[in-house]
Amino acid sequence: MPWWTVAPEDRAQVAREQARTIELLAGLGIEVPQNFECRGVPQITLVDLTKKEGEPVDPADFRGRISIGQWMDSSCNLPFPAEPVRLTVVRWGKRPEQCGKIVVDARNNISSLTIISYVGVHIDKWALFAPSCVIMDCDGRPLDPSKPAGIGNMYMAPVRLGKYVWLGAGTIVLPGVTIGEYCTIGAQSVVASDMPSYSVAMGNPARVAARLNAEKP
Amino acid sequence: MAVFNSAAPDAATLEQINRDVIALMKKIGAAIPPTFRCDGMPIIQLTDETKAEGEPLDYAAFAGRLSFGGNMYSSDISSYPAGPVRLTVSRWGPNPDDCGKVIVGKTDLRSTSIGTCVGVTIGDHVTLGTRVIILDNDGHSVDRRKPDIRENKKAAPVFIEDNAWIGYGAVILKGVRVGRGAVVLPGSVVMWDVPEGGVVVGNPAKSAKIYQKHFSDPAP
Repeated sequence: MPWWTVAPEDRAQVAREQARTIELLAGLGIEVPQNFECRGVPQITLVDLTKKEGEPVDPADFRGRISIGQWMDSSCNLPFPAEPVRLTVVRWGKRPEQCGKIVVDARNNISSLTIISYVGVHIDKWALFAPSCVIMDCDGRPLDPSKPAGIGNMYMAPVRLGKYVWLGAGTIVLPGVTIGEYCTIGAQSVVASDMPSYSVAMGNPARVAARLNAEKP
Repeated sequence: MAVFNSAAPDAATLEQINRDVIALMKKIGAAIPPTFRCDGMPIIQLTDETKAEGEPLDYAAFAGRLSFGGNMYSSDISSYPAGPVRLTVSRWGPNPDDCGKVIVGKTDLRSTSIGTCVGVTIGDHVTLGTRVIILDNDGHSVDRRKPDIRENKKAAPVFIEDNAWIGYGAVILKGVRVGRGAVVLPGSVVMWDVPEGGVVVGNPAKSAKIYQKHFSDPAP
């Protein structure tokens, strides 16, 4: 189906940005899926809490902690308000598993998505992300302000998205949430609890509004 | 009124942007008023589902489907988080009306995103906050096992009537009519009609009457 946009693609610029992205991914030891394509350059942040302020971060400490989809769009040339792809992984202990992990099935198109991981964000195949979604698996600070801001006082729990999940524009997924396969989440929802497979949910906090027939579409 | 904005481009740059956008509007057959002003390039995407992949797109198939009676602000220099105006229009059938439509009265678009395959109509003197999203269809099939054809996108036209006020970041979904003088508070997701003069808030948006006490209480 032909389409036309006012921001026509400058092929040379696309190629430059793709080369920069692949160089960035290679430098961080992130495996590039087959047939990888991208628009714009994503923002990838590695945070090492075990090191002192000012010490350089060693990408080797984060090897294997990020995997990405075959398509990544950070160009912001999308139908809704958009941001570049932002992936942040935090290492908070010396043991290998004391570190965030972003596991995106290669069969995914990631556009304008923000992920912040302290323990694990798992995304199964062919999820659909409308622009400006945020997925986090840790609160980032203690809920109780009287507690010291240590890693032990923060709520962290892995986030899982089943296959064919669709997140509407501007959706926020909070720590510990599992969204079952074929779930559709409405625009600007805040998903704070688990969503059973085949549900249509929306709202802040998100509630199941309808269920799809699991047997047949 | 005089305004100082540290991020605003100079007058010559603004003039050039204005000329570029007016030329673009002419190219895609969009109607604009003689007083049309803008401060940045919108992102406009025209999709023709009746044609095969790779076929060239014919702008004439979209002539008259876009009409603007006010200005269009697409820059990032607003006092609120902003960005370009984003218009996504899809044609899904051969008849003239088998196509999205955006009809805006004497109303300024401010970083508004509109996705249409049947019709979005905005009246006169509507106040639009920045980053408002207006959709007259779901964009995809809600059940992702079904194909993304128009019947599965559940399209229904959207109407925003005169003097309505849509707050920053609100989302107006398919089939909604926002009545004259109604107010949609910022960040709301509107799924159902808003009556004339009504005030709604929340996700999904409901009547704000329950908050009346809260709003009328004196500040502590």
